[in-house]
Amino acid sequence: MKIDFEEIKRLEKLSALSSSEEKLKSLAEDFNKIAEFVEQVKNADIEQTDIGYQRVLKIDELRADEVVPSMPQSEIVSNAPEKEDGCFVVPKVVE
Amino acid sequence: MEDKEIVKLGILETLELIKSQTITSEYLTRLYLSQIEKYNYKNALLEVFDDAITRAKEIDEKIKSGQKVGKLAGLCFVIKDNMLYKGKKATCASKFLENFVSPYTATAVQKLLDEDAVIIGRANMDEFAMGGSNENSAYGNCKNAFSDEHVSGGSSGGSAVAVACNMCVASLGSDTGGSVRQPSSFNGVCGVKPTYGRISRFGIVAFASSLEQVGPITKNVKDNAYLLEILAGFDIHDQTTRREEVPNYLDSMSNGVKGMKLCYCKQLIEKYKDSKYYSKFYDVINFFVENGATVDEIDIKNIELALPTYYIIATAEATSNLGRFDGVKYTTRTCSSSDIKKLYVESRTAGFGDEVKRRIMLGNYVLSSGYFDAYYNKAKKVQQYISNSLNKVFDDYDAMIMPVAYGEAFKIGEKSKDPVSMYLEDMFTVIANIAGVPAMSVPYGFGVNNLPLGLQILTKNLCESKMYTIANFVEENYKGGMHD
Repeated sequence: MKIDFEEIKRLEKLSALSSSEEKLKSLAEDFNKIAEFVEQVKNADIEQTDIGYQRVLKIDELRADEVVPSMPQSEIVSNAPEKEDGCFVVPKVVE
Repeated sequence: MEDKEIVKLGILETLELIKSQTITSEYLTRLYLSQIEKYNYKNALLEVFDDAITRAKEIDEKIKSGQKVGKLAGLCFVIKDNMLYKGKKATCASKFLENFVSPYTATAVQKLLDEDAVIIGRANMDEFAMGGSNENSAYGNCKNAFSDEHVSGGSSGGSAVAVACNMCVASLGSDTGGSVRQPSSFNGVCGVKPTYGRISRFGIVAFASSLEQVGPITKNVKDNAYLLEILAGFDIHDQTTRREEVPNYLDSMSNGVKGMKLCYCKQLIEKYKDSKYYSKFYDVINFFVENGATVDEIDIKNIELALPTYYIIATAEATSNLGRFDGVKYTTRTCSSSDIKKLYVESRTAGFGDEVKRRIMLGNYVLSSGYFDAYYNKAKKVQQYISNSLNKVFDDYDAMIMPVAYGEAFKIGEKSKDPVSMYLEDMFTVIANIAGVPAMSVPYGFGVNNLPLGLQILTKNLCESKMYTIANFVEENYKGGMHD
């Protein structure tokens, strides 16, 4: 399946990324090769199989619901590029 | 014993020297530091921790004063740059996390520290563990331990080269699609991806959570078994860790392969036909037969789909996991705009390298509406299918044998222009991640360029002891090599 330039632009937007036209064109080329490669899965002829989420999420014993010390707020925001009073600073998002 | 011989020793032998007080941990650490000075032009380590000597001295004090010491007392380890160690940087070899300082310590790293290990530095890798050559590092590629013209492999390239060049006694890598085994194969060391859930992933920066595992990289098989026992076990902070008791892998290893039922997969070996080492694979098969094992060729339908399936699942998970890097919580903000969307986009665009961007976009492609069922859901079904098939194989066989990669390490730059040719490198390794079973790379000789080759051994879930038994047998008969 050929992925056109518009589709690449849409995916870039979904990914919260932005590139120059030129870079995007070369990316589109790579992307088509990769898409062709994963296409075999779409067309795979396998017998009906249950989706295997169990392997990862098999939890038969839940963690006890106990209050334990958590990481201090100051450490949680310690790597933030901008912080104030233990909070992450972001541009205003609500009017 | 001469200094240059000491650094070549494995965990068990070095431990004897420390415990008998033949050498101190400080002395040992300084030997590795000079080894690093000599060989780190390879770019295996991104940082040497400046408190290594202080820590070594503390452990020496403990030993001198007769206190009880841990199972790794005074030994020096290297950790991959995606593992958190409180107060130290962990950058995932990405520009995005250039200044990220770990606020806590990963469980796997803590287990080393609890046994009185010294962590000497953090190792180079492909950015966010995405790659098979270490060429995707934002801090420069890592060269092969045996050749400056060839890649180290990846993504745990630095971890493997650090062990092969004797900059440490052993290291930790992480393996999502072969990232411990392939660089181990390329550098002549032993690398293991244990059963999914055997080692905690708490404190390891996530790439594809349902596929990845921490894996030990060591100079010999017995060291690996010893180290896995220390690293494995349930962790309250990682609910995917297994609760089964961790065996003493060293003691539960048996001698030889006599009576074992081994197999190799026809479809996979057909893919290997063009490799220069096709006949070498049969040599090792014959070797198993000569030593009393039976080896069958078996048919596993659709096994070749493991690779594209892996790239769908891994990229889908990566897209979600890397969503957290948005210019708000982690170090990089490349925008002073008052528009939050612009802030996200500009920070991510500046912070991520090309391969990471490609994979995020591919992940969004397979997850986006209209494609979700055709790609992601179908890939999960194929995963279950392959996993079921492999489990059936292990009802009848002790282990499956296959190569780790098509051949020895390739040249720097050889595959970096074509992402699909790079992805094909993972053909033999992704199977264990897709099925969740343990797998190991053990050196079994050298290729035409005098670069090491690795043999891969896969066993049933939680049957690492069997894997180690077979690998140990190979190691004692097909010697790998070490850097002088």
